[in-house]
Amino acid sequence: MTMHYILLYISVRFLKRGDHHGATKKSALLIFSLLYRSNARSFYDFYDLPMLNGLYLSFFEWSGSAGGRTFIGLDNYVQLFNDSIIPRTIWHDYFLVITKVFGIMILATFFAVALTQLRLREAPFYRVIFFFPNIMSVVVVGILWSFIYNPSLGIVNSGLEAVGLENWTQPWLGSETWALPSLVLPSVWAGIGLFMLMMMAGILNVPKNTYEAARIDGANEWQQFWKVTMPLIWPQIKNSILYIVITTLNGSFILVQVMTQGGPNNSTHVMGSYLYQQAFNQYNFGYGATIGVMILILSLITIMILQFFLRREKVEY
Amino acid sequence: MQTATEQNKKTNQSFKHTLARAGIRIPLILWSIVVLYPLAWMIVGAFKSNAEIYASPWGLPETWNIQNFADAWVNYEIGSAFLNSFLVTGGGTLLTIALALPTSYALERLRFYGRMPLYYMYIAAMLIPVVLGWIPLFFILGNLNLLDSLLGLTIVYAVSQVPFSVFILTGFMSSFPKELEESAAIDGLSPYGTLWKVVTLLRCRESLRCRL
Amino acid sequence: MKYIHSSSKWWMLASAALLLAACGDDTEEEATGGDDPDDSAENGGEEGGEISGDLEIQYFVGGYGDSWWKEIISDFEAEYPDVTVIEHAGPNINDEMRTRWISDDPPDVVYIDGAGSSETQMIEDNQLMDLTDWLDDVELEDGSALLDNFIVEPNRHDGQIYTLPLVFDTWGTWYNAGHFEAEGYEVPTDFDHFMEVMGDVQANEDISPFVTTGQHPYYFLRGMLYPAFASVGGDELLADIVTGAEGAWETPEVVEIMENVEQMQTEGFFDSGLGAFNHTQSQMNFILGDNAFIPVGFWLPNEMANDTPDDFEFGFIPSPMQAAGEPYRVVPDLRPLAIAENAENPDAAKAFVDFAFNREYGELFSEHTGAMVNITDIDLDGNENVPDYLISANEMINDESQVQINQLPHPMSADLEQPISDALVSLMTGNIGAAEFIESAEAAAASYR
Repeated sequence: MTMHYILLYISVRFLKRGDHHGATKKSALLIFSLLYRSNARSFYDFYDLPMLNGLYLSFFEWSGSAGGRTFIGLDNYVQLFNDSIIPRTIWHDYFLVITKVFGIMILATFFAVALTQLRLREAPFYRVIFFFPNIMSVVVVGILWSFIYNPSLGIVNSGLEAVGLENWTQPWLGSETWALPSLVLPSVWAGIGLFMLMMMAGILNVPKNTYEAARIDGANEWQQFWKVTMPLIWPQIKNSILYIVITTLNGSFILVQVMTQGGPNNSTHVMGSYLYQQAFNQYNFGYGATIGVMILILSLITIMILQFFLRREKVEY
Repeated sequence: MQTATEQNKKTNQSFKHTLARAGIRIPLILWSIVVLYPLAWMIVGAFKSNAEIYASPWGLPETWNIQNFADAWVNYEIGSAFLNSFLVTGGGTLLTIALALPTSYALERLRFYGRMPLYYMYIAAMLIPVVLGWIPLFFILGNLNLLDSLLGLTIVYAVSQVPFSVFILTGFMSSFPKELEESAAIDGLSPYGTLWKVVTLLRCRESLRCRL
Repeated sequence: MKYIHSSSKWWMLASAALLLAACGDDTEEEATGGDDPDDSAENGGEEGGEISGDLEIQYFVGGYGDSWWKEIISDFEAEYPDVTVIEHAGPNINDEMRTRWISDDPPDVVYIDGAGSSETQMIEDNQLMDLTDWLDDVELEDGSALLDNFIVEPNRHDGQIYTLPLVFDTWGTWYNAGHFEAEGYEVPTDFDHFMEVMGDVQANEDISPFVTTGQHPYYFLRGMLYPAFASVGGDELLADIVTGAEGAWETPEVVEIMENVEQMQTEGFFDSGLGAFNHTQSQMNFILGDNAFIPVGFWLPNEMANDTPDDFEFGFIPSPMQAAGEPYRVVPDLRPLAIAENAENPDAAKAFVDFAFNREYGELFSEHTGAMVNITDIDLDGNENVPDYLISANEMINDESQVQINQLPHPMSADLEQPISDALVSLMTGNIGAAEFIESAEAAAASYR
């Protein structure tokens, strides 16, 4: 940290002295790379180092609760490939990723278009309301939705009974079939606001005359959306999708921990919650770290594939 | 005659328009209910006793009991916890911006060797499970005498926010027209000056976003 | 409170710190007893001898609260004025102290209870002091050896004793005694009778008579299945189950018990929502009369004290899983006290452990918590501060014709308990039958071995 500010100070002084244009440009590069490095250093100290340490531990047998640990080479990785719960956790993760991406993106885009293009008088009201769940901590969201899904007290079941659909009532989170799908709605519920705002910022950036031009060309609202809005807000869409994928792969375990603890019978365990269970409940921190490595690798692959498929020519306007 | 048809057509159109807008409102209203109902329940629940929450979770409390709030204030010291949260998130956010802004500018706009690998390092940092970092982080903070201090917490908070901020900010910066910087460079602005110009522009949009 | 944090607290703590950054509660507090520890060695007490300095004690605070600990610590400081006790206590203390243990700088005395602590792990990691020889010299207030006065003997690992069982946590089945009397239900005396009573409740009130927490299926395992196994196979079968011995789950007796559980499921006696209930939800259901029976330990009344309606009267029996004519079985969960291998003040630590095992404090414990310590012949009769259910349970436990106490060689390892628990939820919610459950349990035992 201190390092960062010393460098910042030096660079500012340096900049003040250099007045030649080319020199400035060159020095800029130098400074930014220095700054970057100092920045990366503090980042490394406080973030990457602890994380990398976690990865290093994947070669050890360690309870995570005592000083001593034993180097066991690749044994944890062998166990990983033989663990029958692992494939299920991976599938659960990607189930959540896919449903969340579609659920959030469709709703968020729809709301964003509706609130920016249709000039509804009460639009600010919706904007504020839809953002509410985003300011709540995931733990609170989880507790809240546990009540909503509660088989005897929850509004889901009582709502179904009220409209005469008794047969549809379920123990939701207590059912091996329904528990995982039940986790999707709270995630979408809690996530929509932020992405809606990101889309709205993108849409508001689109110059008005682009739409006018499209209208003059005879494009109806639907066509305007596909031909004008979509391409122009594509960077926001792409970033939102990547963001959802990343946060889901690395963060959905909090909701799982609060709502189901991975149960019943592992039917909702995601990679992160299984990591947590191994590292902190079963005292296999080394194995937990191995699961961490797997999460990292799978996520990187996923992100790279997505980057490839989502890339489009940058549209300048 | 002609005017009448025109008139007719117009009312017809505006009627259709109204209908369409009403149709668009239905999902908006539905989602508002989906958001507000649980929130209202939570607020009402704050006035209930534990047993009452379980006995009639969705009803109104029999007596509006403010004991819970008094408890939270006195026994759980919500006040000081709130202040701490405020300091940590506030300080942390400033620090995050100070760290992430130049980084994302450098990553997005300056061409230098190793740019993409560094960018992916930040992306990767978002992908490593945070859980694994807790124990080593604790020791690092201990070595720096930052345990049990708001400063330590602020730094951790800030640094853990950096990758996401870099990710978001590079996304935003990529949408800025390059001419802006070129003109800034011609004006003889320093890189920081340019960054500042970009930042002010960004701030306009950000504040736009916030005002939304 | 007991198991609330089961696994949630470590991350809750950290995510709270990282995300919400709301840390207001200081759980570590320094009890002010002695003066400056430096000059205290001079006026060394007559009884304490060399015992002085700081003594760090780590204790988990759960359903039993901390009032007993406060009292005993202040008495200890009065007895040993040269010792300054530093308490590390709270519901999350096991996680908060974890880094101290990792860096080999542990507290001196540790009470092993609550989530995030494991006796097995601590012994396997050589974190606890071998107390075998020292224990020979420890006496109760009447001069008899402590070792002869435990209700349940300390666990031995390779013949050595590392932990002294302090709290005698008994799992059993709870019911609302007042409601049972009003409705004319009988208190179950054996498994068949139990099924009959559950059938009555179901027919009469249209509720699922039995509930437990599906998020922590070990409540059912420890509270219902262990007593069942004990009644058909005694300590030997329990040992086989806990150590994952080959074929333990396939013995005809165990198969029959698991078929009984399946029958409970097919009769609809299990609450259909239990799969997702955490312990609080299941206990609230029970308190509110949505279910008639629940297996929990002795801490239940204390834990639910604030939410219990006035007309609710806790009734407790050892879980009625035995055949007619057999005595009830109790398989206690013991919460031990131990001394760290790397304790900085082992003498004071030993003095404290010695001090804590005492009939007077045992009685006090029952008054404070409504539970029992692991010392025989504590006279609770006529003590007005002790709840009724405890007096009758205490009597039952001391009467061998009614209740027999069985014992696990050591707690089941989390690596074995977890997969068995997973399959158990499936069985209780009707997704698999007894045969499939036994297959899974055997597979879990095999991979554990």
